[in-house]
Amino acid sequence: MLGEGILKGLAETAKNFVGSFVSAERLTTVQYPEQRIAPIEATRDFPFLVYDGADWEAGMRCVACQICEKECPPKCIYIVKSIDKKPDALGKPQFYPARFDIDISVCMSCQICVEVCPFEAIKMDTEFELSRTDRFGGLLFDREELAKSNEHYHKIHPTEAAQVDARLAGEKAKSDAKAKGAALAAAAKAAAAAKPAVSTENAAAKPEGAEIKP
Amino acid sequence: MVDEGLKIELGKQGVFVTTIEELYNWGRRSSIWPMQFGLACCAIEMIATTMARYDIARFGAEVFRPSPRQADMMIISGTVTKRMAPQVVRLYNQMAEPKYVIAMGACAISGGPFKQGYNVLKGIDRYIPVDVHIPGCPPRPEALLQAFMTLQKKIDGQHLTGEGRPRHLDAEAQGEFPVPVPGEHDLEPASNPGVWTAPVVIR
Amino acid sequence: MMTVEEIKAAIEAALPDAGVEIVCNPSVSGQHSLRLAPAQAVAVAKFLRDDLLFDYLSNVTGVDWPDKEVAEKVRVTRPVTKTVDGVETTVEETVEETRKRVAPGCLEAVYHLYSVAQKQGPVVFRLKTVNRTDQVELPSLTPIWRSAEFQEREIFDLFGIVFTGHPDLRRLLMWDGFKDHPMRRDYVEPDDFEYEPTAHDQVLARALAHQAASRTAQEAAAPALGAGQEGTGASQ
Repeated sequence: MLGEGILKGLAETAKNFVGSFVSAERLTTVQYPEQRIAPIEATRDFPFLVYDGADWEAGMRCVACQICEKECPPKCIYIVKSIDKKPDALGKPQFYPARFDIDISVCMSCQICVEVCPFEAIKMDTEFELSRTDRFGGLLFDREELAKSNEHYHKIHPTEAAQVDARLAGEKAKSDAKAKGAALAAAAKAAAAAKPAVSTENAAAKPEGAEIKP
Repeated sequence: MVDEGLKIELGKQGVFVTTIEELYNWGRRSSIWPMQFGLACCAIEMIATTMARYDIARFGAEVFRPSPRQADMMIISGTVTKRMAPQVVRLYNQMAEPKYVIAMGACAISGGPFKQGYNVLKGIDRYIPVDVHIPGCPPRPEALLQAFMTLQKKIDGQHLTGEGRPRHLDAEAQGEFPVPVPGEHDLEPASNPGVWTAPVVIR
Repeated sequence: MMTVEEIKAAIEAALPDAGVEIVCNPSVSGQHSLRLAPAQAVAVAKFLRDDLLFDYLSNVTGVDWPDKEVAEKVRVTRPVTKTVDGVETTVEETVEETRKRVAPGCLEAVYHLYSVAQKQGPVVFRLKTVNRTDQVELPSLTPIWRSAEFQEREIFDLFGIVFTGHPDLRRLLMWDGFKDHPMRRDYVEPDDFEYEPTAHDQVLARALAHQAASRTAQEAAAPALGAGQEGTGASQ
């Protein structure tokens, strides 16, 4: 029939048009900001720095190794290493970032900084409502604005955060076991160093009584 | 400004009270018509915002006008190359006041990931005044809607008289923005100092 | 699948005076290429297209080989005045000395060919210019493969190689009045480094240079403000 294609198309349009008034599934609009689409777990927008505990300065995992700064493709991270050290989660004294700036007007959300971080210190946030009228101050995030707690990380990426926590706990257990083993070895060495001194004394004192035993 | 409590009381009696400023700003912010101006990948997200799922028409941006003469706002979505920059400024000049600019995406704000490229302009705010910047590469359609709401709040807060009045009510502030000319090594001038003064960052 | 040696043999059999060399690629990919002499390039290209059926030119790129400083050891015979047994004589002495000279660079166009008819490829061949400064002409292969048209325009724009015989040689990516060739090794970007908050390496060097230049301009404009003006940090 001539014009069959057009009629089929018009029928589809009419179905959608009338259907959007009567059936809920034909009305696809998500009325932002009252309704929001639930984000999937792998959503990523801009990076943030993870800290453990309550104090963001003391608990920050970042040790200013500057690997993310070197690997960032548009070079939007700027780190200044501290002069002193502070103890990290394993108790080892580490450097920390005195300055950690991310220019989010350049960041392209590629997640390479997250992939290369050896300390699980930088992760991707899901906050996207970041429009600003001030282009210079408002879009250059310093480390205070970037620091967010581990609880926040659990809220936005639960599976990933659980895996990271398990890995860090495993590392802590390993280093604790090593420290305990080292402590035991040191104690045994001290005891062994004390014993020969005692037995040489005994050997020196023994010879008179030695002939008595058959 | 009318006292809020008085407004509510009168409202209960069926009397609606407002100021001319509120009414004027409400009319302006509820019918911002953007211009069809997509440059690169962010344009795809802008088009997605106009489609059924996110629907920018709910916010008053009913039609995207192709002609700058009929548009109120320009959404710069995508990388502005140095070759395109004079055209962007020319189109901005052709828009009638009041006009607004949203710089959508990293490239429009600062050149983005291509900042050090040989043909990339480091942000369109070098030549025209930008009202709202949306970071992201590309920003989600919801981020563009939130920026739209930020712009609407900005318009709501504008006073019609006095020092901080908007440009279209200030005869001295109006006029054309100079169009950069492609020179031998770069655009001339490299930026418009009346519009853009970068703070010095000590590194 | 023809190897580079077979292709070279075929070209030399058909066109005896075609200056074809094999450029060996020592890396793991082992993608060896042919270097053609520019004077016979069009004839060789026609042979490749018509007789060996390489009908699809997929890519043309440019390469900039900059001038290199070469240090070489040269044996020089020089007359030297020496005192031998108390008598001053002039003796010819051969001395080895290290001389530095500048090996001139050149520009190169690299072509990638495929044969859709025979499902072969890629065949890579190169054309070199004489130098980087004034003798930068190469014959255009657009009359042979039309797909070279825009790509040779791009190389003209970004490297500066002039393709003789090209139907429409003008700049493609940059504007017509632009004077530089951006993809050359010695290209210096124009000074638009006013705001670089996360600058590193070369960008940091350019940003600091820009700050120094603007500071001197500021001081020249208003020298009476005095040395105590630490105003640059405050405006951040």
